[in-house]
Amino acid sequence: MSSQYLKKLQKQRLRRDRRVAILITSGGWLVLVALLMLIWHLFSVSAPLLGAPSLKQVNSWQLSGTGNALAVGNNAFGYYLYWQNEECTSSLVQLSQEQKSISSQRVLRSACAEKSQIISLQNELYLADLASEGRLRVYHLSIAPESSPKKQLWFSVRLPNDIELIRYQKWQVQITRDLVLFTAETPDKQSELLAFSRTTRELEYRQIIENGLLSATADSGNTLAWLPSGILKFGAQDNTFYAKEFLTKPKRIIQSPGAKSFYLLYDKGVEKFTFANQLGQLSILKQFSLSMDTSINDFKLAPSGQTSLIFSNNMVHWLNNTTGELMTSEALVHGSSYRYLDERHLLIAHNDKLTKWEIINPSASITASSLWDELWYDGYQQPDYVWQTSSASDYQQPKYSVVPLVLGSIKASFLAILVALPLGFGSAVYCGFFVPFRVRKYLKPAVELIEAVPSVVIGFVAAIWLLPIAEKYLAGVFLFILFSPIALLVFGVIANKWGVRLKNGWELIFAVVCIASFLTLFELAWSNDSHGAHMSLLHQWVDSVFELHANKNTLVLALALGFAIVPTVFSIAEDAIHEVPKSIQLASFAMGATRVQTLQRIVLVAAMPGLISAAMLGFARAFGETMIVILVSGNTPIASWDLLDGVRTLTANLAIELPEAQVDSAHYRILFFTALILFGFTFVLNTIAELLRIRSRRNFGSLK
Amino acid sequence: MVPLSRPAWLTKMSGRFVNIVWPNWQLFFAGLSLIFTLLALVTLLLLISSKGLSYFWPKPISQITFDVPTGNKTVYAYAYTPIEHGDIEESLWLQLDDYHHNKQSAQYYLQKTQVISEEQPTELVRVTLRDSRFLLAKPVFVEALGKRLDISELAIQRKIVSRLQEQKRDIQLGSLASIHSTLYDYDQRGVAKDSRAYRIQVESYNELMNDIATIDEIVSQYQLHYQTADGVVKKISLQDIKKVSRVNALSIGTKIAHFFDGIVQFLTEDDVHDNRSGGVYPAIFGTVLMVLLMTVIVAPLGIIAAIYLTEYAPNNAVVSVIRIAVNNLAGVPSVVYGVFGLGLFVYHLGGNIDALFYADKLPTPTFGTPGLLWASLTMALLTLPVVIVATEEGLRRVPQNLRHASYALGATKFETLKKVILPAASSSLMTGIVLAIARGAGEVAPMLLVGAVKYAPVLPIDSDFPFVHLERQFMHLGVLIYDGAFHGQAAQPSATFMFSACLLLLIVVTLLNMVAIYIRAKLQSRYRAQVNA
Repeated sequence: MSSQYLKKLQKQRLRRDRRVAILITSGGWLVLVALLMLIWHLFSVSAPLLGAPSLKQVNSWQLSGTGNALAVGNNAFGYYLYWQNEECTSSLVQLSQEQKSISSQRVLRSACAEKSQIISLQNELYLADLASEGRLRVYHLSIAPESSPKKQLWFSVRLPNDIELIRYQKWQVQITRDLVLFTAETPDKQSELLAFSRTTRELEYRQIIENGLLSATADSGNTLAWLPSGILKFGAQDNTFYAKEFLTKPKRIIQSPGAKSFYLLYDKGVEKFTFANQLGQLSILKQFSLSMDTSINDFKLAPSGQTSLIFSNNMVHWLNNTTGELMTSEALVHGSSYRYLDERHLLIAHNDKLTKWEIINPSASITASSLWDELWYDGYQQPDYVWQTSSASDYQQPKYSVVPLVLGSIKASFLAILVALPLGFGSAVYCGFFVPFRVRKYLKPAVELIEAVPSVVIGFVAAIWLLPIAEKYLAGVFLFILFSPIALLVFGVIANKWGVRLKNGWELIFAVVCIASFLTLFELAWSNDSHGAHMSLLHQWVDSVFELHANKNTLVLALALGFAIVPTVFSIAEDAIHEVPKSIQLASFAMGATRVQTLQRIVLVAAMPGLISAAMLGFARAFGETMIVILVSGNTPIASWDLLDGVRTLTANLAIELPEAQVDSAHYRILFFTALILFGFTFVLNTIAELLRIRSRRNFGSLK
Repeated sequence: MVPLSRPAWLTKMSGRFVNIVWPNWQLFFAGLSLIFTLLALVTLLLLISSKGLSYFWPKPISQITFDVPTGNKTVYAYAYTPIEHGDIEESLWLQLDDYHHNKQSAQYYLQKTQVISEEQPTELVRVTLRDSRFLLAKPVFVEALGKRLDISELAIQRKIVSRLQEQKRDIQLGSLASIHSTLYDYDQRGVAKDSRAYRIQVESYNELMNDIATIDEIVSQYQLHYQTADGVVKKISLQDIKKVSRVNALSIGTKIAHFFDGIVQFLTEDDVHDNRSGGVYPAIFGTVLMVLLMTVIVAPLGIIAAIYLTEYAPNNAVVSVIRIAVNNLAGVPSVVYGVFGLGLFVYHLGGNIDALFYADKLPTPTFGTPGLLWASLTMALLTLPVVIVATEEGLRRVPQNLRHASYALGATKFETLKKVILPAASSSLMTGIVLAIARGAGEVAPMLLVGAVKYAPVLPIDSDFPFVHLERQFMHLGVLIYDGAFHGQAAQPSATFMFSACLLLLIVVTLLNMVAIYIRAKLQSRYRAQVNA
């Protein structure tokens, strides 16, 4: 081999080595980055929840001349603006991105002699005119780009003759789903309400409200009137009066969508009330009250009903309507101007400028309080922890309390641990301490075989086969476990009578026979049918004494989940017990201790960190188990510590709700937040368990 | 004073209890718990096997006459005892065919006291139809081209019908198809519709259509006349029948043949009928394909990452933190990986891929929806920590002297890795992959979020380019079982189909594991000498 060839070969090998090093380094980093990206992604999706919504100006238009009446609507092409200036010309203009100024181009005919009012309802604009001869006309206004605005007569009715129009200075028209409401306020502070049906134009009812306030809502068809003695609700069918003493008269009453609650706006505060059924009586309960330092100019409710904007003194404050806290405030010059708010934008007309603001980060209206506090939701009688993200009705206040889910997870894991710890530790002790090596070689893989069974199979069998059986044998199984000491006694007596020395694993066979026969006898004596009509005497006696009303779902869940985590607990505990050095065990035997004494005082004590680690890992595993819980439990989110209630765990909730959550909505982000909770909790538990295991291994390093 | 006398047996028993059982209660308790655990496992496996296999064993058809308020009623049905409510000793659940009845009325719950007579006449047959419905009836005669024939001719007549169907299919797929393509070709080239060549094609087309119509007419004249339990004679065309079996008169040999036939049908057909019967071939296919794809992704990545962490990474605090983080990721619940897969892979990456490459198909998502690729990637991420940990352990167990010897002989790091360390650690590598496969095949929660659907019309692999369609949705055995338990009517006694699916899942997981363990054993035996030296 020439030296040149060898040198070339050497260079080739070194080059290949370097290339491989680069490949492996980059590959390794890629993989690690991918794993860390998991954590980062969870954070990044749930991080916006921490912030607060804010406003960003995206457009502004110049209005030529000052206008009087203003209103904004929303059609398929964007926002459109209606205004009437002091020369009584009114125009309807479609707002576009390119336009920078708005002039009175598109003119609608209107007479100045008539007084008119503009109504904005579900993004449509209506114009109400009251003619001097007593005819009320409502027009529908619409516009499309590149076409002239249309004003169509939508409703027309003649007011009753006994209404003296001169007396009524201030009048107002409101439109609900079925009615057109005409209210007028007289100089002596009385309001008269006339309600006409939209379809038949008949006067449905007429009422005088003394010293009250009125509000209307767009969809539910209800109108509320505030009276000092209570609230009068004008429904589509009839009226209801809710009595409640109010001390001060509010400036406005505003209904929230869904009509289950309303707001009273005062000069320096806002209060929210809900209608609730309290002990069979309909009443009004106060959900929260907010007081501010400066006086409030305006209160605008977002169409979703979850947030509101409070305008005061050149500041705008964001209010969370569920928790009643002010999330954030920003400075916004608005004066006494017209404001329009919908889900994504806020339009403000101030002096001669119209500005459009975009709402950034709307899902950040969720605060820590919405997730963790006991909140008073609409329609409830008292504050409660509720998780309910969707319902069958059109409008629903989403309830995002994470507390029922966390409690559910903890309860389910606790139930599993209750079953798995005795089974797992007992098996580990037997396998690691009492049994000779050649038997252990088969027993250990046998128990670890349970880990190979997919959890969906365990859940399926538990739900389909075990649940119906549990209904019949439930109390029997419970009490069998309670009466097991008798089984021990009988077993010990029989084994001893036959003179078999109990050692080296042979106990198993006798125990099997004994337990099986006891089980059969017990069930024969215990069985009853599901109707409870033919309960055996034993069952009747026990029922009368103990009053056991165990929920069968809880029991089967505990059994199934516990069974699924036994291999986790078993393998770690068994390792811990088996690794206790032989030397100290032999020393104990040499001093005359029995097997059981050695076990209790030496081996278990020495293996304690490993046992605790096993318990923690089992708890973490049960915390993260999904399929069994979905199939066996009732999946009802209930926030209580009662073990026998239904549970919905964090994991089951994710599997059920995430496929249908709208991307980047508040619901979606909160679900990612619950995934983060899951991740963090199991991470912390696993780390502590691992540290314990390392510590226990280090303790015995010298003894080996 | 008379001393209180205690019976001798009580003294002996309490003495034994106090001296032997009570001090050793830990032993008994430990033994008991081990027995409970093993008993539970054995019960589970036996239950699944027995119920699963019983689905295939042909079940006899009963003729039951029972008492209802309006008189007596006779039906042909399968008789089961229900497991749930009701006294097990006292009631009966009947499943009738779903041809005459719709799903809701195809069953009866009876008290055993209502039953007047129950017998299993040997002439009753089960007729399975081509649309998976079935019929329980007593055949009367076969009508072929207007003539009445005896029932024993049924098999022959069915063969005739199937031969006719074959003829029709040959025409359709052969000559007719070629005429179609020729006509299409002519249309593309703009050949005039009244030209001679065109007219010839159209004539042959019409002729062949006539032939097919004739065959159809002939076939429709083959009917099976049968009698239902209430005595009414009805008829059904032979072409709708898939299988006729006289269940009550089968010999043991035939029953065993039916048993295996049922198993084959279960494994190869692709139509799950109401979670009660059918074939799960697409589910098996999907599961195995997903696991294979996952292994192909996770094995190289995990091994490279483990090699990097053990051999190439510096030994500082950052790397130990990363190592602990990777260790702990193995314990994170699988749903979290599913959430991550849905959020990042499906919505983010998939959405971007759709916007870049498949914009013309929007808003129907191609990659922006759960599919095979994202499911395999998610499962690969899920099992990655396990593979990394196992491989790392194996690499660290290779004795230092082997490495030093290799370096002393002048090998580069890569050559040492390739020829000394990796082979020595190969059994741990395989352990890692075995664990990955075991976990990957059994985890269902991420599949619910990122992968499988209840019914996928096509398999992800077919003969169109590019042969493996990564964006397609697939069926998964675990999701099938979940769906059957959660939504289906599997609570009835005939839930045996779902148990068969469970048994199949267990077998698939076991097989996958055994293959991997076998490979590991081979590698272990080949390289053990090296390590022990």
